[in-house]
Amino acid sequence: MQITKDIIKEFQNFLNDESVLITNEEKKPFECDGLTAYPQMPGLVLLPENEEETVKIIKICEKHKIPIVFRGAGTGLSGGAIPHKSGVLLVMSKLNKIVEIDSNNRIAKVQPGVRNISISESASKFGLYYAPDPSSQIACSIGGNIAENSGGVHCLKYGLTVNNILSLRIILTSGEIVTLGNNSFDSNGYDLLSFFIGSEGMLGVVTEITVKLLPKPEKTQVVLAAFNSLKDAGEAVGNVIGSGIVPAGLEMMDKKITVAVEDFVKAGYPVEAEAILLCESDGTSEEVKDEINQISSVMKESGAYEIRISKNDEERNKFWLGRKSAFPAVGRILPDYFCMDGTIPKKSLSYVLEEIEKLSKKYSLQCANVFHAGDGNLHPLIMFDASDDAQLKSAEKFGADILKLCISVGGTITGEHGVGIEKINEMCHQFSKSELNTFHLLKKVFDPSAILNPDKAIPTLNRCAEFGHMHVHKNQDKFPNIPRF
Amino acid sequence: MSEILDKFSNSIIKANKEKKNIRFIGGDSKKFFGYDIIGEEFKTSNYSGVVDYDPKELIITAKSGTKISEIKSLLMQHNQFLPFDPPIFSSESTLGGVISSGFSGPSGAYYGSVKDFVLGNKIMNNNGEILNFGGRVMKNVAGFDVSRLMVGSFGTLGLILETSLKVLPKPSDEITLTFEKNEKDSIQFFNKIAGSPLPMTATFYHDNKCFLKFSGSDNSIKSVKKELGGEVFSDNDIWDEIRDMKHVFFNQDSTLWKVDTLPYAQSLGKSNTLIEWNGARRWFFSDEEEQDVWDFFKNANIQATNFKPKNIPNSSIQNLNNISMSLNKKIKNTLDPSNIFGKSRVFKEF
Repeated sequence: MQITKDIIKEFQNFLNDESVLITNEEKKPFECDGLTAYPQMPGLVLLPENEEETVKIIKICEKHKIPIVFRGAGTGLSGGAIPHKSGVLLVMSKLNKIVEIDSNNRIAKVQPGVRNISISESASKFGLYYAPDPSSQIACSIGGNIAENSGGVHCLKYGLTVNNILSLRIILTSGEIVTLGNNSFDSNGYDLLSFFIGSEGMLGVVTEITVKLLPKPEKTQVVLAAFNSLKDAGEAVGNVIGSGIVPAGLEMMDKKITVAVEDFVKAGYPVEAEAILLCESDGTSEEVKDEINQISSVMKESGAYEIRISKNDEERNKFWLGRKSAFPAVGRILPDYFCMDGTIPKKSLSYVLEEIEKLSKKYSLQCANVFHAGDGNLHPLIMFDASDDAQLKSAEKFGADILKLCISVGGTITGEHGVGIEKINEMCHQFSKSELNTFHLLKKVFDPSAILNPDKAIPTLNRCAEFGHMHVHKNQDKFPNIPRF
Repeated sequence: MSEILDKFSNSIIKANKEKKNIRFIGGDSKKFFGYDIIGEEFKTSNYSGVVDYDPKELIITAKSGTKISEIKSLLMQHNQFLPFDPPIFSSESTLGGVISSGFSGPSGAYYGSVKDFVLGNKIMNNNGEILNFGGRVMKNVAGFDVSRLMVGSFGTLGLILETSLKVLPKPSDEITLTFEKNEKDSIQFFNKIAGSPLPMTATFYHDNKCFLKFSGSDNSIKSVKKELGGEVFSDNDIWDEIRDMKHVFFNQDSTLWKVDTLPYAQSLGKSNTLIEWNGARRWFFSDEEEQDVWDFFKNANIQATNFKPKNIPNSSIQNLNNISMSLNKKIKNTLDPSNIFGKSRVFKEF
């Protein structure tokens, strides 16, 4: 259903004028999220200030069957918050209060619009922090992190968002409010808390989140290791973990990245290296000392020709500065890039990197590699110029081929960025018809009218059929009557 | 499909046609938990074996009928372990049982519980089809997390065929320290240490004594003892006894209740108690009327489980609020519309 003037009035009855954005001029900043290639003007933008207003909005949308797309800070990379042209874009950024920090229980209760980093900043005075740290942590909101099950550089040791959330207060499309999880480690009934995290705004909206806080480590140090070949660096990753260490972070950058970064922020990286690894250890002083010694010797045995160990926090931050500046550094080479997010078993690292290099030649597009090596989570950056249609199309095909490659070695199309609209076609490769059907049926439990984030994350079976990659068993559809979205 | 999977599939299709219940059995070591499921017994023990394990990946994939002891000893050979430390109530306990119960041991509050280590599940659905959710990689956010939905579902949503788990390297040293403290002081002490960088990995309190386990590098363990003092408790088997309910506390002839709460919460006021997870998991035995205990939990807004009832219980063995109950029921009806998979094991309502 279209958003009529009467429906807008229904919203205006309880929302401030500044919370209802109607004109194209007002709505323009919301036409895309972190995936900028596919802008879409929303039907209407609403910015509720509290849970009560959010419930009212959802009830009105449900009554009129108006699509709703939720948005946090809009930093998502897969287009999960790209608006619906005849729907409401429900922006949660005004619900931005840290409700409580309970240092005795090491939890924080926060609203969805709170920025990821501000949780750690507020908890800092108690010697605590919130572990998941996606690269966008200074801007991204915790509500968006819930929707995407965001990761970051420290997930190997500290887990993803799903491992660091104790409960969620959510609004269902009926307008009912329910708490998922129990603020303890065990919860009665099915694990709907984990099921909800990473559901990309398809099941409901979060109004309050209880996160786990961890004690800040006593000491943190990082090893920078330079290699003459990507293969040696790839093997060093497995060797470090095989030696009995779970590093706090283990990141790899190839030469294209280090050169671009050095040019940009002067992190002091050895630019002649084919690959460098950053390996961080944290914990008690004794633990870190033992681990750093072990990491250094494993790196040397694995072929590192240069090892640097951060002497203080200033130097450690300098090592990380380059890694954290990798994306903008690449953005300086060509105007646009796609950041892929496939995850693979670590043993396939060398093979996959070689294949990506071949694809780069095939499509005549540059591709730089910077990634969470410890998790096997790749972030190939495909560089192109979006004003050239042919380049954009080639870049899309290149990206799709990388994702297929990840699936072929037993991996997945997305490790931490989500599917959104960006990888929706590749979902047809990764999942069978029955698996996709299961997702559709489960969505119906939460959203029977299918108004939440339509056409995202889980492809319709029709879409897969058109895309030509539906994995159909025996040519039968077992659920002919369920709605498709 | 292999012969055995064909057999599973045909049995499910048959049960569906005949509207009969199926009772999945691994090692049958958690039979005491919840209501008996009446139905054709369906053994997974002959669907067993480790499918994939590479210590450098920190991931193990095994079939559901694999004995958990077999998995643990394979990991041990490579100096790795299951951090959620599942209880092993019998030598027959299987991986499938561990996943479908979702029970975690004393270290669950520190490393994470079962769901934190499940990366992927291959299941057979109500139509006898094989479905894969999650995967054999550390991070995977494609599609809804059906894989974790299976954890703690007690076989009521489908048959778990295969699971991929994240594992960790075993810390090189550990130490157990014990202190004489009452319940209140113990909980305060646990949470003070849990908020510090010390590598604490398990705690329990019972009978005016508290026990704290620390795991880490040799040097860090030495410094823990220096910093905290306390008495070194040399019998590390005590943690297995707590985990497997073989500790003398669990040997009582009345109903065993479990409470899941915030760790630094008030005392339940029960004398006969054992507390784990810094206070987040509390066990007590009671001869009180079942309904009186449920009323107490309802008034205090506490989530609880009638874990080992002395007599057949009258109500569901766990409490849930109405909206959660309705969502749970819908999930069950969606994945098992003909209700053949373990009806009413935990909740009378579904």
